[in-house]
Amino acid sequence: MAEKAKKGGTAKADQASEKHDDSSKSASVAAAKAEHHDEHAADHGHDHKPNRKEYFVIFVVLAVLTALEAGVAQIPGLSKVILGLTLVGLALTKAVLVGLYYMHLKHETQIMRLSVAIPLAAPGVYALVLISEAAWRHL
Amino acid sequence: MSAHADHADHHGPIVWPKDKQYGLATPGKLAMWFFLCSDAFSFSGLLLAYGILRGGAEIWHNPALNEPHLGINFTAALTFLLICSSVTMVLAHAACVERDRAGTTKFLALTVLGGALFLAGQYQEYFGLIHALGHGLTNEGLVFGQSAYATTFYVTTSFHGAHVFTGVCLLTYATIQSARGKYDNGNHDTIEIIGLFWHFVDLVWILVFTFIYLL
Repeated sequence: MAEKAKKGGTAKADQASEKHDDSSKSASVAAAKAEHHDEHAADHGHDHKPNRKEYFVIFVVLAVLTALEAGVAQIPGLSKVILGLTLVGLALTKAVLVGLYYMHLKHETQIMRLSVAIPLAAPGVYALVLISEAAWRHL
Repeated sequence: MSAHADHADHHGPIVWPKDKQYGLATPGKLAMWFFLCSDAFSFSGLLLAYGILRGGAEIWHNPALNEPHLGINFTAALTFLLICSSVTMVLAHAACVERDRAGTTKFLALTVLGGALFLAGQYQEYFGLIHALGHGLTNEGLVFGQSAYATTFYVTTSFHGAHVFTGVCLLTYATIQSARGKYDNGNHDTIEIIGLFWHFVDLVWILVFTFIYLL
């Protein structure tokens, strides 16, 4: 099984799986793809093995950031600008972590990531335009 | 190549034909992402409207109306609950990839539980379920339609609540299907697609929590 996996771990993995209809061989190709995926950059869009350790690390980071948010929001006398930038920064960090690791965008192709990221950036750009316009009016 | 999907007994994940641009993303997954983008615009519309109303208001939280402040710690706990349910969701998907029916069903059920608890928490926040935790914002003077502060709060959080409810329904369906062995063949696409929706609901709540409650 391991030998087959190594053979399949070349660029010809797709060809190999088309040639052999045998189910166990197709599985070895899948395993090979996972191996192949580790060797190269993530933007090949290969199916990947779930990484439970990574899931837990992200969970801890998200929990800590949430506690930090609730704490920062209740600090008395913090300037509104600093508070706003810190909280929005923390929230965006959390959102990106969920998108990349839990929604598996990290393991998708670059085009797939951009297909999601570019439209989702639009409301952010719109918000920035509105904020700058309001700031300009109050100059 | 798609013929492999018919073999219910082979091991390892099902191999999909690889697309040049979108890799191994299935049509269903792409469709869910398109939907999530459009759904994100709906939420963005609500949050931008909230921002414009709040930015343009001379007094946002009018003391004369005696409206309560939104509780941060209770909602932070709800945020943590959704994050936990996101973890059980990825673990359900991981178990499904490994064709572990019991594990998939268990973690899906835990995710349903997390979503249901979130909804109960939101009910508590609105109407007061357990009086020791509070009497509910509606009973404390936060009245829909009375002020932009109250209305934007209810519209945004209830729209999110509707998403949680939808997610709980989808996850309940997936839990039943998983228990019946519908995902035993290693086809984890459905679980991953429902998972995308569920993580998105979590992701949106992270932003709603910041903009509506913390700022």
